[in-house]
This record gives sequence, C-alpha cells and structure tokens, in this order.
Amino acid sequence: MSDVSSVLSLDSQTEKRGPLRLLIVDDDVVQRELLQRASRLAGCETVLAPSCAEAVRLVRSMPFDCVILDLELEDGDGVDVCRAMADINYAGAVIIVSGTESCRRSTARAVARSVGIEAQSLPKPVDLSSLRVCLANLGKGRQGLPAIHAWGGAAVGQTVAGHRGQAGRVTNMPA
Amino acid sequence: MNAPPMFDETAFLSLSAELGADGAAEILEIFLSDTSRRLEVIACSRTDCSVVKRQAHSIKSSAATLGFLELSGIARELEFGAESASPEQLHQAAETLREAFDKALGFAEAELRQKAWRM
Repeated sequence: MSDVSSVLSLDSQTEKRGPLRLLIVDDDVVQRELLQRASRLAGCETVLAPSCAEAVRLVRSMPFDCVILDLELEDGDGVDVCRAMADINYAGAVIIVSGTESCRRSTARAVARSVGIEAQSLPKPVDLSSLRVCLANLGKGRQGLPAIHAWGGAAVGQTVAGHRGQAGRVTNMPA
Repeated sequence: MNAPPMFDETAFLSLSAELGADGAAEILEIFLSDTSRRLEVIACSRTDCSVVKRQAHSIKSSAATLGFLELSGIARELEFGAESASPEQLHQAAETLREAFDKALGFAEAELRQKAWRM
C-alpha cells in the first residue's frame, strides 16, 4: 500500500470511529435542547436546525451521519427535508421524532426509504433511552460492527404505554 | 368538576436520569419560558385555528416530556379540536390551557426546582 493510500485509509478509519455527526431538525426549542443534550451525552456532535429551510441548507453544505427529524415544522413538512437529502445522495440515516400519529410517522418512514434513506421513528415525548440505543447502533453500524442492542416494536410499545400513563407513577398536583 | 391536575413523576425522574439533575432543571426552565410565550401567541391568535393548533401541538409534546400530563392532555384536546371549535369554544379552551399551565408553573416552583437541584 502506498503512503498516500495508507494515510487515506487511516483517515477513513478515524472518521468511522469518530463521533456521529447529527443534524437535529425541530422548530420547538424544548425538543431541540432535549435532543441535543441527550445526543451529546451519547458522544455525538450536533448541529441544530429550527426550520425545514435551514435543514435543507445544512444538509447541502455539511456531511451528517444522521438527521433527527421532526415532521410538523412551521415552514413545512420534514418529508420535504428527506427529499432534499435524496437529491444530494445523502448516505446517512434518519430518525423521525414526531408527536404526530403513528400512521403519519410510518408514511414518512416509507417515503424516506423509497428515496433510499434508512429511517427509524420514535414518538414524542421521545424516550431518551430508546434514542440512545438508536445512536449507539448507528455508531456500530458505521464501523461495520453488529448492533450492540436489539430492540423493536415491543420496546417501543412499552415506551408509548409508559408515556401515556399506563405505566409509571402518577401524582396529583395541588390545585 | 375539573379533572385533578396530574403530574407523572416517573417522566421527570427519567429525564433526570438521562440528562442529569442540572440538565433536567435547565430543560424545565426552557419549557416554562417557551410555554408561557406560546400561550401569549394563542391569546393573540384565537381566531386563527391553525396558529392555535400548532402551539397546542408543541405544548402537548413538551409538557408530556416533563411529566405534566394534565397540561399535555388539554393541549392535545385543543390541537385536535381547534379546527371544528367555535370562537367561544376556542376562547374557553385557551383559558383552560392557561389555567393548567399556571398550576404546572406553581408545582414546578414549589416542587420540581428544589427536587431537580437536590438530585
């Protein structure tokens, strides 16, 4: 292997082992801050976009490993951001995090996959431990390693039930 | 009779476990400030149901994240009922949402701020 190819190979490996670069797209400041803090604690680098327009501008100008995407934004639909990502042959993943009904998240995920983007979805309020698992698996996948955690519909179902008050402790507040 | 105000302590403790006590306290402050602003937007836009719907949608998710289930539930009703509501119904729903937020704010000031910093 030549010196140049050795250096290129080393750079490539270093990039694969480095932190995931995330774009967080949400027009709600509470959700943006929440997702950013959780992602940084998971070892990721984050860039924030409060609108579809800003998200499209950023995906065209910077490389990202994953886009965490809300669907209902003030200036448009998150699916439009997916289409813009497909136009530039975006090679990363998408995690849809939305408070819309599950059928709408499923439709958005199907649209993303139809344009060649691997997409997962999580309901709001987002379960941060599920997000952490998604990010950990993306990091392993980028290195060509198997997922370190396995989870699926059952885990998501429990999360949703928990957030909807079917599990967990509920306290009366003083009136 | 109004439903009792409900707070899901598990949600707040989960948030603290993931972000740390400081992180949870900071998210709480952002939520209180942002929701107060959104309620002002609703108060100024009661005849524009699309604006009311959007603000209620955001409050619904963020309130549930912090554990304010009653506030989240009222916001959800407003989000899904805004389009078919009369101006009087929108006005009443906005007032109910404001009252739920005031209770949540009082609870946060009395309990959560201290609790977050103790953890």
